[in-house]
Amino acid sequence: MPASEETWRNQPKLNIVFALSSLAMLGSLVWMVEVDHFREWKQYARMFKKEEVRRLQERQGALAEADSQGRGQVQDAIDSVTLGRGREVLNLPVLDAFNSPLKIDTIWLPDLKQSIGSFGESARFDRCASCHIPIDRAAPGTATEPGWPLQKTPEDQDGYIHPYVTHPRLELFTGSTSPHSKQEFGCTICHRGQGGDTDFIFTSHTPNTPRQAKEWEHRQGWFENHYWDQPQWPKRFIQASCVQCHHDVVELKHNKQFGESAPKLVEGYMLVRKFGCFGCHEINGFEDGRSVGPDLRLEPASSETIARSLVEVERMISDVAAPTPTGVASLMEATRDPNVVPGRLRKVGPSLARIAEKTTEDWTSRWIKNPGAFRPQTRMPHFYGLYNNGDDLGQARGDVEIRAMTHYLFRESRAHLGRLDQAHGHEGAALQNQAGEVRSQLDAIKAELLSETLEGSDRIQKITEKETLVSQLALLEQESAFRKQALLGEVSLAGDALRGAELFVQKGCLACHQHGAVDQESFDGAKADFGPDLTNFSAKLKSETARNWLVQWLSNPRVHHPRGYMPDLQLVPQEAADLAAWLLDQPGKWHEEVEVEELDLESLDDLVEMYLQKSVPLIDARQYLTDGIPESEKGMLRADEQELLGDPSVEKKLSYVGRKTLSRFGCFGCHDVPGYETAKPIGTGLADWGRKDPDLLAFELVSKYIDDEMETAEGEGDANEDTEYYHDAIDHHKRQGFLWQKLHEPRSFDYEKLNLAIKPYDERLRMPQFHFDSDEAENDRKIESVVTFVLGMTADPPAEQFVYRPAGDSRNQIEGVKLLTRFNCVGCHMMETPQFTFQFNPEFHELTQVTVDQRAIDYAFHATDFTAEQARNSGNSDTATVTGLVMGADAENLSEAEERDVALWQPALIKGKRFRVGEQILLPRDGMVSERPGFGGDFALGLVESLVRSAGLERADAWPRVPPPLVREGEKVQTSWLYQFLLNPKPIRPAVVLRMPDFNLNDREARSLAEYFAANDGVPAYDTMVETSDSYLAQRQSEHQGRLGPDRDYLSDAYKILANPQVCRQCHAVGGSSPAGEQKDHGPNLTSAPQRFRSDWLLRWLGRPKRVLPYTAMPENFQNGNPGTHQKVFPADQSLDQLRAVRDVMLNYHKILERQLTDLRPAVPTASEGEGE
Amino acid sequence: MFSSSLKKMVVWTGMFSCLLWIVGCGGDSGGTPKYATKKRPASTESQDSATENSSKDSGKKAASANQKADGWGTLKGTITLAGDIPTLPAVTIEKDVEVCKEHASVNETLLVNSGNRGIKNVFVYLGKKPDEVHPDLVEASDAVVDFDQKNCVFLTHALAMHVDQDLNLLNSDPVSHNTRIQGGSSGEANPLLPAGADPQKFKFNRKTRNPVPVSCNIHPWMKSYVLAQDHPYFAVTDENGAFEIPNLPSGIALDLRVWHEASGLVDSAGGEVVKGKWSVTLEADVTQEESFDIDVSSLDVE
Repeated sequence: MPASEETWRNQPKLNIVFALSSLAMLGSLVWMVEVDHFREWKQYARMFKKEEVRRLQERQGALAEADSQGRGQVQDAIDSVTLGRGREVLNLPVLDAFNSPLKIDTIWLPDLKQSIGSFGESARFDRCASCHIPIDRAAPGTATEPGWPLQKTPEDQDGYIHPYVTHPRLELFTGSTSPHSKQEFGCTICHRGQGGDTDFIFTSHTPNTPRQAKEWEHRQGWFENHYWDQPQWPKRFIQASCVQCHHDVVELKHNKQFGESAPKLVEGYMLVRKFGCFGCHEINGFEDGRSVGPDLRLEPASSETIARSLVEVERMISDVAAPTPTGVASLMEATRDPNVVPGRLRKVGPSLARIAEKTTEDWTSRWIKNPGAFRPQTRMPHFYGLYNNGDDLGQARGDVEIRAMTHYLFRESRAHLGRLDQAHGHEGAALQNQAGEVRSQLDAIKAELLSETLEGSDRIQKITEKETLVSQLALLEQESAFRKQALLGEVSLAGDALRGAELFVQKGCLACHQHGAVDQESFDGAKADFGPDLTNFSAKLKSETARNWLVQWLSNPRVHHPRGYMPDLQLVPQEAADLAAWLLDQPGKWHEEVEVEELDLESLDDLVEMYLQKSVPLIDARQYLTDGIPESEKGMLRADEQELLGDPSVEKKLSYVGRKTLSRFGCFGCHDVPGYETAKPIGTGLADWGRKDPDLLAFELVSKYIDDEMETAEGEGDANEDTEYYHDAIDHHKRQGFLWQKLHEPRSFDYEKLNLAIKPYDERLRMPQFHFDSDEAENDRKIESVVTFVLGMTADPPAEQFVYRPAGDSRNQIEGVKLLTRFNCVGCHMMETPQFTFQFNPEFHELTQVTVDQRAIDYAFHATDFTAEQARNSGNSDTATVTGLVMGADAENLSEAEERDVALWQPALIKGKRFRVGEQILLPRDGMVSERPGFGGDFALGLVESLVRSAGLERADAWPRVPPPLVREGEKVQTSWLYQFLLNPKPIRPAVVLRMPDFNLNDREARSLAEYFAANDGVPAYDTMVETSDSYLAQRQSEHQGRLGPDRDYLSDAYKILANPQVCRQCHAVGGSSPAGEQKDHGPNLTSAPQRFRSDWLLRWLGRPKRVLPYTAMPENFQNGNPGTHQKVFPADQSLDQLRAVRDVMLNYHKILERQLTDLRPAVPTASEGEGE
Repeated sequence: MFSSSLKKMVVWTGMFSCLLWIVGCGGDSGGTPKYATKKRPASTESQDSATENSSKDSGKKAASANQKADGWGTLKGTITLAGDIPTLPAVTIEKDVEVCKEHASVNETLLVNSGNRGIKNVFVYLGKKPDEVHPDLVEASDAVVDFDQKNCVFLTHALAMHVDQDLNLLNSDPVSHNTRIQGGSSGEANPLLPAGADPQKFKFNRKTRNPVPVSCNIHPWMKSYVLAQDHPYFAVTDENGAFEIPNLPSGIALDLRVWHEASGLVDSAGGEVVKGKWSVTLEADVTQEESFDIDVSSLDVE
């Protein structure tokens, strides 16, 4: 067939099709290029570049014309951003698809695995910095100032919006020198989300509020991506992620280097500790002996377990040293499994073993029904009066349960007391025995002294021994007489309520308790809630033995509850009686009436039958109920059912229901309850709750409950944003929603389940209602803190190298902070003084006029050690920060201008000028930027104010009389001394109005706490005290002789100063002579100096006391350049030598004293001299 | 940002030049006092209202900023006690009794003249440095003030001084004392002064707002109060309760302070002085007498 021109297809048509498809191809190509060119991250990157160039050009413009070098540098920076002229073309569409200078910034983190559901783990790669480009950029010339600060207000011209913002706190996060650098940690390990994506939605950004969610939906088409297991934390929970690696938690608030980093999380942790959540919900931070999260567990066995056995009680009490805390601890130590890391926490509630002694059944039952009606701030949660016992059945049975529990507790308590009474008889006897022993020792010494065979130092030593024994004996006799009375009969000491009122303020009760009857104005800041509010205390103490109990409790709480937190205040019996008299004298009432219904026997029987049914067939249960359980069944029964053995009686039924109810509510999680020594916590463990599958959470009908509630509550104004957030979270079945509602209204999960056909009575929810704060908004805030902490607990730490495992000083610091808060040391002692930041005001120029005159007598080591750069920065800054205590007289005199005098406790820089510790500056009345309260010491501050008001003292004169701030305590005292002092506190300063209590610490706790102070000040825990060595003294001796002649003796010359009646002896006891005058005006005895002080500190202290302790009354005895006319030993130009000599002789006090005694000794036969040595 | 720093600069330059100008004027006024040629304020109204204020509402600052003094006047008066004169417990001396017993047992917290009921040791002083100081008083502020102790008593129990003066701390006793000056941010010191010690110099950083306590911790009963001001207008009442402050600026409401150790800032019985504030206006070249009572109940004496 000849070829024809005819084509298979119509050519023009094809041309059209081809043309169209070409156009379509072109279109899609353009579309592709367009899509690529306008990818979200590229747009951000381009915007960022543009702004960066603008900023650089602005900086260049600000430089002087002549500064060609500076300009050149900036130009280089511009070129590196723009890639130089000409190459910008690479950024154009199409071209940028091939070798674009805009690159995705991927951080590859092979060791920081991320879990991808059931598929296991994969390496992490974070691309967040592709959009968040300046996330780790510091401002030019600084290490940690944000280069791209966040815009705070819309008017803020220097700030930026996300994602063009630097991460807050570069010194802590993302910065290259920070502990969490961007390259090492990436982003999603903390923030979560899908790091591999570069799209706003698919990286799982999570809005913080419903409003923000709406905004995002509107602006960026955001939607909730349910398919990614770990969406980013919303801002409110971001701190939760810290728990993964920071298992101790507290270092995130109290940190020498970084200050507060996650205060909300720490608050949550502290609340869990304070309210004893761990009593029911075990928080076991260990897996195979390795720490995987915070560990909050009870001690392996409370001492009540041990005390329960009468044999043990007798053993402990007949032992002279017992019942010391170390004794109890070692007992516990001996019984524990060596492979298991034991828990360390004590129960948060009081022991109920002695409840019959202090209060009545009536009070107890009303208290269980509604504790808040008696003490609104109580930590005891509410078990009754809640949603799921509000129905008729719940109310009737609830009151029966309350009566039953009370009945059981009192029965057991009386039995326990009976056993103890028996045992304490032995204690009285033991004290008597001890007194007898001391008496015979004393007689022996007296005889020895009379015979006059002793000479010199031996004699002195014996006299000292004798005096010690005399005071010991007096104490023992007083104690044993008192104990006997208190425990076995009436306390015969009459108390004086007026004195008691004074003691209540002075003896430190307010460090842990509040009382409505004390001077509220002075103790305004001291809202102590470590112990219960004692305002209506007297209404509780209505039992006949209450007074006895109280006096005993105040004298020695350990007798009653060996593991309670109430310390031994070292009161003498009279003081305890006075305090008790005052406390019982105060009116006490219930805030609202609470009635517990008379016992309803029908409901009681219902309950007995219900519980019995669980272990025996219904027919047997009914039988037992009417006839009791025959003795023959005993072997088959569990402890609870054994209560019903024998003929039935109401008491037996009550005890049975009481036991059942106590177990059901898990009361033993917070209280020591006789009969429940080995019971296990009843709640869900929380150690890995943060990764619990939300599908396993029983939301039940709580969404409906909320909707219905909201409906009924309508018209009362809209719920706030946070509530809305959580309601939303509940609707989406998120963990945080569940937790929030559990803490808000725990029983609401029983909504529409109160019908017995749906849910049996004993399966109703048991979680009680906690009140973290009486203020509702504050309560909500605290709930969120708890939620943050619990969400953070995933027991799933990253690879070992990322987990924070502090050792050495850091470990000691963390342990110390935990102990300081656990024993409430910070109630009395200030660990850090308050901080004030103010605007430097040139009109207030007087500030800079502290005369240098007053520094002339300082020694070189008193100077501040700021660097020149720090001084320069301060000179350029308009604000200054100082740390110290407000001084001066009565507030009334100061209020006039609202100016405050602050004595510096840390060196400070103000406008480039250096200020030393102890110098006082005036805070300007205007221009205060911020004030940060100190850490601890609320009670000390309150007592100072109280003394200022009541005794008209200057603040500087009041401070020496209250518990001292422990700032730089580690630099001051030797760790070994502190350890001994903590276990066995002795009086030190005669001026102080109260004594350091005995906190019942065990050995490990005392050691940790003692080492904490050294670690906190960055000094070695143990000091070599080289000044006491022979070689050191020999060297000083030869220097001294070289200067002043061969017949001089270094220590003796120094002792002449120490023993000079014109100097130290004016206020301190030296060499056996006591200063005259009232004791409260004396300084501490110097004999303990060698054990107590560190040598460097002592030198600084003696050189100028004010530079160490700003409020001190100690005079400047050894001024630099002015050795004073009171000594003729050291010439005027040797004031440092003089100072050092006084320090050395103090540290070698025993040596010099011995030498003095030898010198005093008359001619002694040489034979006895050898013996004497 | 830039504009605000520019503004600051302009303001500062302005203020600085103003300051220069004022200093310059001060220098000119050396010989003949300039104020003498100045006219009295045109309106007498303002002056009247000032006097009215002083009598009715002494707590308020009456003088407005642009009011100028029209001359110099002298204020004198007597401060007396209303109510029963309390008997104060004698000081107990338990230390260095030999040296101290002679004088130290007198309780100096409140000394009242049984004749005219005048209270000793009340500080009366101008709260703020006036714009101009009488030329006679500009000098004489250089001297050193002795601050001595004898028989365990500070010889100056109530001392008012100029802040430019130095304190010369002395000890005339055969026993040690420490002189603890608690001036707070105005200056603190606590030297030990043993018997026969060399005198020590002390200088305040700046004026004290009110009198500051000076004590000896070795002998806790020893107390004294020192006031340091940056102007010469201060007085301490004598044993008759009398004081005199010469050459105060006249024609403006003076913002005076009254302070006594038993009460701190004084409240007078008649309401002239409220929380230590006392407003008085003097006439030129006149010695004005202003006296008032202090009620014994407003004093903290046990």
